[in-house]
Amino acid sequence: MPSKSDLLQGTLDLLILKIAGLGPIHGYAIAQRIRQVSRDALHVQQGSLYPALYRLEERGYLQSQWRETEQGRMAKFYTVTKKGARQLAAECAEWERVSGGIALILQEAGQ
Amino acid sequence: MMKWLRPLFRRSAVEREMDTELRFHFDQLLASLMAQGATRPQASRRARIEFGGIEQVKDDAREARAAGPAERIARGLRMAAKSLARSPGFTAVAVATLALGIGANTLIFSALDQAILRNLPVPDPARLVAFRSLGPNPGMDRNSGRKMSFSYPKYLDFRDHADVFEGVAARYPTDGSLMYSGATEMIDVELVTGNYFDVLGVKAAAGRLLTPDDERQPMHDTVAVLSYSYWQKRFGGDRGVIGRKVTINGMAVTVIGISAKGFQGLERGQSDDVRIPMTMKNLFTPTWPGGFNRRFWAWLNIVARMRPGLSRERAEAGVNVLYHQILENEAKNLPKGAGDLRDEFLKRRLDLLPAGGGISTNGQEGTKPFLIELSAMAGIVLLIACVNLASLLMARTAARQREMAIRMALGAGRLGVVRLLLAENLLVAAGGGVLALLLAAAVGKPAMALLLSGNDTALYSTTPDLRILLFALCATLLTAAGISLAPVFEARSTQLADILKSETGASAGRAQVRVRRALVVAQVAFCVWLLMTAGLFARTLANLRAVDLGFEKQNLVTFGIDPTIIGLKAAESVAVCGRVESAVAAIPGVDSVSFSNFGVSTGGMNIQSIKVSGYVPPHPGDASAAELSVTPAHVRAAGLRLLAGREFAESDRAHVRTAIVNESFVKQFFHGENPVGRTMLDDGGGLELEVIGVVRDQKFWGQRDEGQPAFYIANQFPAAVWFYVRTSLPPESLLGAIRKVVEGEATGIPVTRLRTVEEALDLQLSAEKQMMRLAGLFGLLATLLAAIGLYGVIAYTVARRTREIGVRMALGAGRADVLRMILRDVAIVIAAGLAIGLPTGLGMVRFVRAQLFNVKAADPWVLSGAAVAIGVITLFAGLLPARKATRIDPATALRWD
Repeated sequence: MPSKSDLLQGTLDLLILKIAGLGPIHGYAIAQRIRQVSRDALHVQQGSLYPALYRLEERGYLQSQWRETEQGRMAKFYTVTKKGARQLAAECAEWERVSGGIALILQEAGQ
Repeated sequence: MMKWLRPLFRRSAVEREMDTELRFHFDQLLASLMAQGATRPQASRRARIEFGGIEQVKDDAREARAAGPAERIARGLRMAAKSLARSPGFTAVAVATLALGIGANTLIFSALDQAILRNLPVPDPARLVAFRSLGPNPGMDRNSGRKMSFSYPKYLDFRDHADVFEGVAARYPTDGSLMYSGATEMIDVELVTGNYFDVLGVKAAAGRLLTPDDERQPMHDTVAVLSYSYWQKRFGGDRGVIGRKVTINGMAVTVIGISAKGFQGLERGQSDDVRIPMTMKNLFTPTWPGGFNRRFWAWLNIVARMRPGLSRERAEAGVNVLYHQILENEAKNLPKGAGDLRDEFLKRRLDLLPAGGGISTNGQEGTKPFLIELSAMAGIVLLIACVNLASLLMARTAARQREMAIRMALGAGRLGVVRLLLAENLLVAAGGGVLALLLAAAVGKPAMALLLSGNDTALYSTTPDLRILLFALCATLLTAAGISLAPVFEARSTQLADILKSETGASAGRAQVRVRRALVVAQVAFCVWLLMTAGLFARTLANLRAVDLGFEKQNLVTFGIDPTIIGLKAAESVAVCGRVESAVAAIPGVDSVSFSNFGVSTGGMNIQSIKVSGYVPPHPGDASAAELSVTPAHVRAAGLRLLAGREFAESDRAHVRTAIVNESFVKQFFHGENPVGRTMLDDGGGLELEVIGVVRDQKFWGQRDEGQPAFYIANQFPAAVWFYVRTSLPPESLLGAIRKVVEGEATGIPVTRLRTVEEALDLQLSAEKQMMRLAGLFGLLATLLAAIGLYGVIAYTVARRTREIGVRMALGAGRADVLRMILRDVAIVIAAGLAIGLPTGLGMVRFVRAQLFNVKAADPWVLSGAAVAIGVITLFAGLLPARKATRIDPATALRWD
């Protein structure tokens, strides 16, 4: 499997929280958005997406609501809770820290 | 509703939501693909591929919804159920095996429970005691030799003066007849003192029970209490019978009440139908009427309730002070000729036996030892079934090692895998447990009847009660733990990398084969135990059948009648017996007829103290012998063997002055000298007798009887008599004619136990027959299970060594070599099993040694028979996969993989 679809454990949670933080959104749209925003670099499989959604909901980072879509179908829309927003902020900071560190190593090692 | 349980009930809603959500996702995917220009079928296919397995997604999603403990357990069980459903064959075999094992155990435990473990259904049963006093008792003893009978005056002494007891009651069990709305039947009667129910603490189910006042009523006002089960059986539980009159032994008696449900009686394993005040005694004992003031007529069993807080030892010490006073008083008036007993008599002590679980006055523990052996055998079968399951599970685990490895690679975690295995085993065990209970409920009655044939199965209820359920549950849980052990251990030691990289799982596989082989060795050993038991009982049975009983048992029919139970007086009773005798003698094919007060294998014998001049008993009081009353034709009719002298003549009957003695009698009292012409004194009956003949010892109590000194007298006697009908025809052919004739002559008197003597004797062997049959059955079942186990292991070994065998054959090994190689494995397992099973089996059969007859535990025939039977069956089981190994094609085997 090409590595582009593999996400680090925890990374998917971060992406979902980030995207859902922009406003109520259903599962399919989250997958689409990740793909679009990453310019096709990241594919989220349903097999990973929904377990992650449920896990986040159980932990109280997301809450959901059944609503009609523009096409008039019922879908489950997720929004980030306050607790989720705090978690997102913390994880973003952590990500910055780690990815900054990795970037540094890659640069240093390259020279 | 508790909060953590709620998700369980919300489950279906959650599932539905998940379905809708995933469906929506799928539809969106489809729509977008079609928008990109795909046709509908194309889009649908691609969407499905992209989406992946929907069930898998759901599973993972469910897993992700971290839930409360209840839901997590439910989910684990659901996964296990699904996993089991994927191999229905394994699941069915496993559940059925367990169901049989647990079912047999539940059933046998419920019988065991009722026969021994259960106390009488009375309050505080631990305070009930039964009296026993060893030592000489001059005079009459109406009970078999357990020294548990006492005279009525003695009973009164205890009742009125023993202050360690709250109450003292007495009983005398006997037979009777009950007539109601025209139909007569035999019943078990218990003559009881008025305080009987009170002392025991038994309550009434309807009406009222006996009180001391009822004992003071005159005979024509007598009352009776029915047992609950007899009330149900005979009167269909009709309350209207209370206050009505029924006819018991010819006397009208008013039914006043029904005793509590579940109370069968004091005697272990027996039930009394009707309880009547002691005052009615004469109706049941016309041959020895009265006796309420006779100090040396021992006939009553005494039970007492100790005062609260008193230990049995303390009570015993207390009551013995009184008992000694009683004996001192009685010793002043010892019967004539018993003076030399005085010292021994005064040394008698009173033992208080625990009676909370019932008493056993005849020395027979009833079905107790049999049931214990039965449960031991059932336990062994359950053990073997578990061992087989463990082996089966190990094989399944081995086959699933890849699945497990993949699960772990996907992050399931070792604990998760172990949990799954545990959950699966729990489900199998629970399924087996439930099925076992259903099985016990469905076939319990007939199965119990089969297991306990010959015993009173009506006494045993097979509806599992709470404790049986608990027992089944415990058995189930233990079994689950047992069968979980091996595979879980294996799962723990599973090395991921090992399994993923090699298809044989070399090291784990070898360890597994070792463990499974050890299990088969254990199974073979267990089988040896069971088959040895079966063999020993088969030998016992053959030996017992070959025993010379001292009389001609062929061509002999026996039956009993008791004219006194319809209220006939002694003289009328004698007349009826005489009429029956001549009528039966007139049946064509009948050679001779006699009757006696002793019936073949029915028990109930008079032991009389005797005196023989020239004989000095080693212990005072030891001079006693069995007295049998017979009609003159008895020697011929019963087929006794006359060794010296003559048989009775008709003239001996008018005045009883003659006796025929048996060999044991001659040996003990006449020092083996010819006794014909000498005299003896029948102390109890006060008769002086001249010995006219000697006969071979008759084994009165059946095949195991050692023979005992006995003398026969030809006298007139009423009450229960047993007929002996000798014929030259096949005896079965006479049964119908005899019944017709007897019923014609003795109207209204039930004919009991009409059958050939051979049949009667064989019935006595029913316990041995059952043991043999059951041990054989269990043994074969066990051997079959062991064979299946062995087959599994060897088949697995062969499969694992396919490549090795291929190489060997490619290098020139012949089929015979391969066969020899595999069979060597088989032989080692069997030999190890036998080597362990035979010596341990010798230890085990010690427990049944008391029931064996003329056969040693180490009987070479039995040992070799068991070994050969097991060897042949298991060898055959091993031969099948071994033959398969010889058909391995080297080319294919090496290309394999």
